[in-house]
Amino acid sequence: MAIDQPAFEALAAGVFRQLQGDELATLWLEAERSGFVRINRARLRQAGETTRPLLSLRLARGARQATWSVVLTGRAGEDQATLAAALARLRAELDDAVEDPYLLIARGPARSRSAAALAAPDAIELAQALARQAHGLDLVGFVTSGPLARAFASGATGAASAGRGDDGPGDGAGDAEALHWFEAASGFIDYSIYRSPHRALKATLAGPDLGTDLAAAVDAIARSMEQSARIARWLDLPAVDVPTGEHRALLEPAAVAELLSMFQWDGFSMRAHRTRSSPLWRLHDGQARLDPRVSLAEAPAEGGAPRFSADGFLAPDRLPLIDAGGPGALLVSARTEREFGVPNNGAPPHESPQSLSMAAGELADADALAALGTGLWIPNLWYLNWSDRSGARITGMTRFATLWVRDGKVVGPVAPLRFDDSVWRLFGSALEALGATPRFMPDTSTYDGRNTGSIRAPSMLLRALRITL
Amino acid sequence: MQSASFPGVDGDAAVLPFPKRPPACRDYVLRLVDRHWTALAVRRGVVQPAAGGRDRGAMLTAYTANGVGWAATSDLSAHGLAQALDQALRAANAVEAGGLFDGVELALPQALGVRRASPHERPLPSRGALLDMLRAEDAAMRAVEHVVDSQATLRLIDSDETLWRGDALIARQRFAWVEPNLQATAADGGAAQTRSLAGQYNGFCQQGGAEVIERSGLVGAGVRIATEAVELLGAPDCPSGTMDLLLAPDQMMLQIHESIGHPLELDRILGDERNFAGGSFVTPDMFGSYRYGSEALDVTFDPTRPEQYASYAVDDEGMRAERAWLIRGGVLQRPLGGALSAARARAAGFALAGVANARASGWHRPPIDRMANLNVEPGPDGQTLDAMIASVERGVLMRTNVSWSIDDTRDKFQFGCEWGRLIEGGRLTRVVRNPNYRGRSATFWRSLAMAGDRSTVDVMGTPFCGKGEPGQVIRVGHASPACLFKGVDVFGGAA
Repeated sequence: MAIDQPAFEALAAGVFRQLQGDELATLWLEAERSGFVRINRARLRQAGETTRPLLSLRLARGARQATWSVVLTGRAGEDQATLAAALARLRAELDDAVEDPYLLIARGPARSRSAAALAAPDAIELAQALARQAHGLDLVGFVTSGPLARAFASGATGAASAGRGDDGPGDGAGDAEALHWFEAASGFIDYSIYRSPHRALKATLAGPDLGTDLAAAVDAIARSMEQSARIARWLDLPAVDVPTGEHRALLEPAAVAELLSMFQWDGFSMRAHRTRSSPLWRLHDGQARLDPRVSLAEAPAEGGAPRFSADGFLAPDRLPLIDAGGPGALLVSARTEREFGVPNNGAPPHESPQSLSMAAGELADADALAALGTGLWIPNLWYLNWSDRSGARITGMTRFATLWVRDGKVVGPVAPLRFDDSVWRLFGSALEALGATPRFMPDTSTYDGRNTGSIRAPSMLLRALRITL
Repeated sequence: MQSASFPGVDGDAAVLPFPKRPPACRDYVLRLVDRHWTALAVRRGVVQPAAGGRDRGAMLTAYTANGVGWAATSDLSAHGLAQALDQALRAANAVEAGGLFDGVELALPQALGVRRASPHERPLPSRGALLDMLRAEDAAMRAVEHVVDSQATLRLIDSDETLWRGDALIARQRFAWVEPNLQATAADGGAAQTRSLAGQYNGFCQQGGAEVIERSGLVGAGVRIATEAVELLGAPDCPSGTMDLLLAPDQMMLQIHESIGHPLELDRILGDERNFAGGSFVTPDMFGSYRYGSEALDVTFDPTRPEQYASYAVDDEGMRAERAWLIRGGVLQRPLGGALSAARARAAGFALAGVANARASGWHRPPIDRMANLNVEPGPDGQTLDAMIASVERGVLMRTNVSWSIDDTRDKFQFGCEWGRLIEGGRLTRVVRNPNYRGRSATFWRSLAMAGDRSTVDVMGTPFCGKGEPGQVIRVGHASPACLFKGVDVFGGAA
């Protein structure tokens, strides 16, 4: 990872020692060391490793602020010099900056540490194990593992210190006023098995499902491959043509997670709500409600994400966002607190939920196909977007092993279908039942870096899903 | 593009302690990226805090006889680079042991010694002057009644990128990317509508200096954008039905991107992306004969247009970049595949000529097939926009992408625009909101009736093309004329 907690604290102290007058500085660290391996046709396609500690240094003086981001090297002397140069640069920028009426940084001593003891097996060894067990199959997949960290530190000239643990304020120059550290060793295996060019199934192994050593991971891969073999048999059945129109549908948790991920796009942002950019503004204005069985919360304690924001504020363990079909809280960042006069709740600047958790229902897994009767069994959705953002209408595709079910029995696979339907129907009038067994799904996206986000969701049985193409 | 002198790229990028090649390593490539960025924004009348940064690091790519592996590090010391090379070699050995590249001729890049810099007609104004410009447009938007949100933004990126084979220079390139935008949201009662300069995801973006801002039309556009957002509030929803569809370049860029660009990426066709971004409805045997579109469809891969967003001289695998026809007269010619993908296709029995499109989003990601600049060429017999409108009995003109969704083989799509206007009896009539359309890539381009003339061309692009495992967001360019399609399934919004 190149940067551990002592190294981060030393860098922070080096910055804080240089502060002058009424200056306040914060450091925000996003660091990872990640092994990345791709597999195509059950053989390694691309393998490598990235070590990238990103640090954003913010300097505030009065109501002025500026931020400069750098990549650390892991060599203390060079990194200290880089930050000293960044500080000088920011100081010069503040001389010309205008006052920022929305500047708000958490003040006062605070300290937290979250470090999972979990170790992640080596990515290349995991990929080789997966490829061996997939011998003879058309498996394409992605494996990643390694440590990652998030950290925040703030300091000001003459500020009270966060101290060390519970032993009271520190007394050394350069001590952080607040310091929060989060680290985890994580990884996942995400793979698809193709039975023919357009028929495939998908599986993801992560967290406890993957295990902490290679032997446990190999066992987990074997169990996953057995489950995949059962689904593969259905994919080999003759395809079923499904006409456009409304069909009953059983959405597996991964498909529900795709729908919920649309709410991460300004759905629970106070700023988006106040500027009418939120697709769920009708819910929060009291003009629409969802089914009373629908409850959603932001739950970092369940999801394993850090609770602190880049402004140093702490999110609650659990924040209800949709409560029994009605509006719950909205996510409020520090900046939004100042702009709209609403107390912040530790939300990140983009006000997007990181650890969404949806309440389960009563439909047992064993009863789900019988309850569906005749309709679509959809394991995954894909490429969702708002087709009418203000109207909360979503379009997207089915993907992977979508099957047609008649009288509770699988008939055969279905080619990718396009749906176009509204949130008010999907989570409202068309909702027939929620699954009893929610599934925890870590965010497997790796754009720019690995994520700490997750979604926990049950399956959903819909009376009607609108298929349009 | 090449000449004797290029501002900022004449000298050495840095004095790097190039690591010694281990005996087991056939050779290695070192790619150094040193990128500075600045973000300026004014939102709802408030100058947003100054933000910027520097992202600097190197990728070592190790080659063995039948393997390639990579490692990326921000530690550019002798120890850091040597350690990264060891990691890259371990990865290359693992790939070779897997055997995917058995029988594939892995060609190493040549030390071309190429240098290129973005065009730069006029220097950018000072930060203060740029903020004044953004403040003025933001104020103009806010002054329009019913506008509840507004933002004027400018993102500037300067990237110095050098590629060596061992310690021999392949290419040094310096990019100046400029991303201006305006956005206004209007709300009244139960409706909200957003309008932007060229898309909410920076559909206008080019290489250069102050001239890019001028070409974007940002200065003075605030009132128009806000007024159009308010106009959409009171407009009816786009009608549903099968009708003619006239797409402006700021929607054509998305149409090209999703339903020509991605399906022609050779790594998708070879199956690499099937676990994430998806495969393609295009198969290797289609090249040279498949009718992708009507005879009016001509598509080029063109990294040579100086100001376009993804122009460059050499790709990140070290292949010299040249213009190539991908679709000519509607017939599919060649894929978007870099040197490695083309070699893999050849080993599989498909003699496909590739293009220099192996690109990485940064120093921390390996090159994969990307579309770079992918352009629809203006029709040799193309018409003006007015003439195209006059030819339509019943249809809709759509501007500025706002929604996009397409299946994993890049066939079934549904796209939406910010702004629509009906065409009735050869004339533009009512403005309509939430204009959407859907179709299939495999047949949609065959309904292309007319590609407009040069007067209708805009050079667009996006900084946000996502693909790959690990994920990469990269810059692409799309120049296009306005295009007229016949018999398209069009519809509007409302739940």
